[in-house]
Amino acid sequence: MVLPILFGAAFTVAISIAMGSLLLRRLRVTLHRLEAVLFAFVGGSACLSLATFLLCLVHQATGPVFLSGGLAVILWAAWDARGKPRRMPLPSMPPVWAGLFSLILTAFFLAYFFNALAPEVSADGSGYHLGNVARYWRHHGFVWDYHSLRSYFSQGAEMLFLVAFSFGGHSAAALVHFAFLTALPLLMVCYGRRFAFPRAAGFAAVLAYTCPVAGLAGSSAYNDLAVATVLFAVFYSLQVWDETNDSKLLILVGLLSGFAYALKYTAFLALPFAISCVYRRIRDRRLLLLPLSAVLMIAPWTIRNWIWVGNPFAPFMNRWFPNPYVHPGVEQSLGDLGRYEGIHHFWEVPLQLTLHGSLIPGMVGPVFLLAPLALLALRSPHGRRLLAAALVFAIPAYFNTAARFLLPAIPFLSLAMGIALANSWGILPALAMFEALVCWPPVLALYCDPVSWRIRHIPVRAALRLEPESQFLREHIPDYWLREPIEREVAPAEKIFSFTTRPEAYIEQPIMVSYESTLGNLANEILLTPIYYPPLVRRRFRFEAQNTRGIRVVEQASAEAYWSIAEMRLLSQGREVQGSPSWHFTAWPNRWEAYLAFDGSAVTRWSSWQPMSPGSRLQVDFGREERIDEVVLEGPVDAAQVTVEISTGGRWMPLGRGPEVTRMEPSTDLRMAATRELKGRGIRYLLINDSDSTGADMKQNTSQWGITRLAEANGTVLYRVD
Amino acid sequence: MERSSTVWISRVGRVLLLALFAVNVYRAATQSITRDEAVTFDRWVRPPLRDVLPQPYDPNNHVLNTLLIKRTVGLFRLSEFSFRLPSLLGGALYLWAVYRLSRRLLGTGPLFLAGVALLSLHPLILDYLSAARGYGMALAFWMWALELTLEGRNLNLAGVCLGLSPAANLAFLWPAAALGIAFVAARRASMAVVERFAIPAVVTGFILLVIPLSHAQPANLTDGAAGRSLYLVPPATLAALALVRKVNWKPVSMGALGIAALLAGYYLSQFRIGFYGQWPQDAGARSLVGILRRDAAGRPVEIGASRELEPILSFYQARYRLANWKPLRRQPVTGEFDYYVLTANDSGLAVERRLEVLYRDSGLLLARKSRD
Repeated sequence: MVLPILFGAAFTVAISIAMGSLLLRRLRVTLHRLEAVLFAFVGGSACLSLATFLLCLVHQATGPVFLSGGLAVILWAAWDARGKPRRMPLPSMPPVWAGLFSLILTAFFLAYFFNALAPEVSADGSGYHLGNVARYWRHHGFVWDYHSLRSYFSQGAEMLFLVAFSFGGHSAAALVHFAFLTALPLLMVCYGRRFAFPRAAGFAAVLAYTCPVAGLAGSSAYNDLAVATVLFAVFYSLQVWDETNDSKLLILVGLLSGFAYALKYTAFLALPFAISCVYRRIRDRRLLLLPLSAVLMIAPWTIRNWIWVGNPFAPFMNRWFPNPYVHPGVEQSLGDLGRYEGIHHFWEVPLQLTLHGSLIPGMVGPVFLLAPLALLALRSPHGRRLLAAALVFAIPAYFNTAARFLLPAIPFLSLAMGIALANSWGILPALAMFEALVCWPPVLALYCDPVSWRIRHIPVRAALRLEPESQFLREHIPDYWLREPIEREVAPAEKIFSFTTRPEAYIEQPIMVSYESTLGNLANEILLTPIYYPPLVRRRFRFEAQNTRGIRVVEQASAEAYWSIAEMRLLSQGREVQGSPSWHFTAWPNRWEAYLAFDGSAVTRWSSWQPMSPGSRLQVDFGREERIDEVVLEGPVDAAQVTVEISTGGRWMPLGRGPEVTRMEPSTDLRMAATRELKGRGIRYLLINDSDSTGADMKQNTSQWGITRLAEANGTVLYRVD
Repeated sequence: MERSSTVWISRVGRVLLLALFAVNVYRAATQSITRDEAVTFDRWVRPPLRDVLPQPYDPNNHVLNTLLIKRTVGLFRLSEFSFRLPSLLGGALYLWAVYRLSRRLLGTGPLFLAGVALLSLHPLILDYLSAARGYGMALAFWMWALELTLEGRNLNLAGVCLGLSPAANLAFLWPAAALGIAFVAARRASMAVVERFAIPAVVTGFILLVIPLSHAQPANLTDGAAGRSLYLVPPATLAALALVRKVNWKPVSMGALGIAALLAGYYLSQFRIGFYGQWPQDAGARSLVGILRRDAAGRPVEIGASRELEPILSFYQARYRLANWKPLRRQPVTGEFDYYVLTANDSGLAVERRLEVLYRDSGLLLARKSRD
C-alpha cells in the first residue's frame, strides 16, 4: 500500500526534475549544483503541469500515458546530461549552522513526511483540491459538464497531483506538495550561500520550515507551499539575473511567474513584480521575454475558462464577464473572507497569528512577533529587495485572512529578519532553536488555542498503513462514514445536493454544493423557500388594455438585498395569458434565469443575485402582439419599487400607475413542490446536516418533503427524493 | 597611608558582602517556606509545563525563577534550600554587582563602603536575596546590565542581562526598558549598540517570556510594579552617593556618610535572621509541620487549613513525601478534619470547637480534634 504512494510522488518529482533539467540545459543558465537541482524541480513542475493540462484537454490523462511519457522524459534527461561537466558547488555553510539546520530540518521533515504519507484528511485537500483531481482521473481529463466555482480556479498544482494520484492515490498527491515544502528551505539556504549571508538564510529557512501553518498546509494536498516556493524561485532567479545579466534567465523567470498564476490566482502578482524589477534595469525588447514566457503558463487556464464558462477569470470578475455558472453575489461572499471575525482590536491579529490561532485559521509561529526588527534589514540592498517582495506577496492576505495566505511572504520576511539580526552575536541560532522548539507539534499544543489549525499528531502507523486507511479517515472526516451508503444507494452519475462542502475526493458522485454553482444556488433557494421565503407579497399593476410585443418590470429602488420575483403573471380581462414557445424571457442582471419567474412554480424565482439597483429589469418578448391589461408580481417581502413598461413601436413606454400591493395568503405546503423541482433538475439525493437550515424540518416532516432517509452518521443524513 | 586605608575599606566591603552571602545561605537552608514561595511551588513549580502554560498569565509567576526552581528541585530533591537555590545564586550575583558598581561609581574610599552597606543591608533587598521570589534575581540582572553598560566592554552580555531581568520578574520590565532606552539614547542610537545591546536584550526577554505571556492581559504588565518598587533603591542610592562624590566637598561627604551610617544602622535594626520581614507570620511553619508529622505519623489524616496556608502544607507534604496526609480539599476550614492549621484570623475555631492546640505562635496555630 505504501510503495505505490511513494512511487507516485517520487515519480512525479523525478519527471519534474528531468523536465526542468532539460529546460535549464536548453536555456544554458549558469547555476550552481544544488541550485540547479532545485530550479530543475520548480521549473520542471511548471512544464509537467502544462503537459498534464494538455493531456486533460484531450482526455489522455491516464496512468499508462503518464508512466510511458514520464519514463521517456527521465531517460531523455539522463541521456542529455551524459558527459556534461558537473556544476560548481555553492560556497559552503558554516559547519555549526549546517549541523543545526540539518538537525532541525530532519526532525520536522520526518514529522511532515508522515503527515503527508497518512491518508489525506485536510478540509480543502479532501474537498475540492483532490475532488477535482479524482474527477479528472475518472474521466481522464477535464469534465466540462460539471460546474462548481472551485473547479474554475487555476489548477497548476492539481495537474501535478493528478500524475501522482494516478499511481498512489490521495497521499501521493499530498507528498508532491510536501516536496515543494521541503524544496523551499533548501532554496532559501542556496540563496543565502550564493549571496554571502548563509547564517541569515539558515535561520530564515528554519523559520519558514517550522512555521506551523506551512507544516500543515505543506503536508496536505493544498497548493500554498507550491505557491510560496515558486514565488521565492521567481525572486531568486531575478536576483541571479541581476547578478549575471543573463537574458535567458528572463525566460525562466517568466515561466515561473506564469506558473505561479497557474498554481493560484493570488500569485498573479509574481508577473508584475518581476516585470517591475527587470524594468528598473533594462527597457528594451529583452523585457518582452518575461510576459511572453509567462503567458505560456497563464493562457491555458484563462482560455479554458473563457471557452468553458465565458469568464477567463472565473470564479471572479463575474460582473465584467457575466455567465450562467457563477452569480456575482456568490463572488461577493468570497470577498468577505477578508474580515477578521471575532477580533476587536488590531493588536489581536499578530497575537492570533503567532501565539493563539483560534480566530484566524493557522499560525506562523511566535518568533514572527519580532518581525518589525526586519526593518533593520533596510540598510542592505538584499534586505530592501526582500522586504519589498514580502510586502507585495502579502497583499492577498488582506483579502483572505487565513494565515496560509501569508505564506508567500514568509520566506522573504524570514530572510529580512535574518539579515537584520545577523550582526547580533548568538541571536540567530538562539531564535532558530527556540522557534523549532515551540513549533514542534506537541510543544505548540501547550500554548496555542485547542481549536487552532495545526498538525496535531505524527501518525506513523496510519502513514505506514499499519492502521487501516478507512479507520483513520472515519476518525478525521465525519462524512466519510456516509461513503459506503452513498456508494450503495446512489448511482455514480447521480447528483447529490448539499448545503456545505463534502470530501469530494472520496465520493464519486457529483456533489452540488449550495454556494458553488448557479444550480447549487437554485437548489438552495428552492429548499429554503417553503420554510423561509414563501411568496407573500403580490404587486398588481392594472392599466388600460394594450397590444404590445413585450413587457418588462423595472426596479427603481436601491438596497443591499437582492431583487427577486417568484412569479410574473400577465393577465387580460382578468384571465392569465398563457405563455407560448415564441415568448422569450430575459433580464438584467442574470438573464439566464429569467424563465424562473414564468415557470408557474412558487418555489423557484428569478433573482438579480446582486444588490437591488435602479434599472434592473425582468422582461418578456412575445414575438407577436399580445393584449395585456394587468401585470402581477409575486415574491417575498422586500424593498422593491417596481414600474411596468411596455414595448410600443420598438420603444419601451412606462405605464402610469403604481402597483396595488396585497399580502398573499400563505401557500399550501411547498415542501413537496420543492423536492419535485429538484428532481426535475436531476437532483435526487440530499446530504443534509442537522445544523443546516432545513435539517431539523426535514427530520420532522420527512413525508411532507417527499423524501426518504437512507442513512445517517455524525449529524448528517442522506435522503432520497421519492 | 591613603593606599592602606583604601585596601582596608575594600577588604571590609568584601568581608561584609561575603558575610551577607553566608547569612543568605543560612537563611535559605533554615527558614520556613513562606506562603508566597509556597504558592510559586503549588501553582507553577509542581505542575508540569503542559498544565501551566495554557493558564492565563499570573503576574506572581516569575518565569525565569520558576524555570530555574524546577531545575534545581529536579536535580537536588525538594527542600527549602534547593527551592531557594536560584534566588541564592541571584543574590550572589547581586552582591558581586554591588561591589563592582560601588567601586566604579563611588571609588575606593568611605563612600564605597557606604554604598556597599546601603545596597546590601537594605532589609527588603536582603530578604529577596534568598527568598525564592525572583525579585532578587531580577535586581541582580538589572544591576549587572547597568555595570556592563557602564564598563562598555561586553555589551552583548549587558543586553542578555537586561533581557533576563524582566524574565526573572516581570515587575522589572519597565526599569529594564528605561535602562535600555537610556543607554541606547546616550549612545545616540548607534547601530552597533542596537545590534550588540538592544537586540540581545529584546530577544533574551522575548524567548523566555513570549510563551508564558501569551495569555497575559495588558494589566499584567503593570501588576506588581507599584508595590515592588525595589528597583528604585539601588539606582537612587548609587546616584545620590555618586553625586556626593562628584561634588567632592568635605562637609557634604561627611554629612552623606553620617546619613549612610544612620541608615545602615536602621537597616541592621530591622534585620531578623530568623524570618523574612515580609512574611513574619510564616516563621513557625517548619516547626508546626514537624509537630504535625510526628503526631500524625503512621496513620492517614485529613488536614483542614486556612486558605493562605494550604500551599505551605502542600510544599511540606511534597518535601517530606507525606503519603498519609490526605490531599488538601481546598474547602472552607469549617469542615470536619483530623488536624487544623489556622492563621491568627481563623484561630477562634480552635476555641469554638474545643480543639486540642499542639502549636501556637503569633501567626500560626496547629490543633487536632480533642481525643476526649
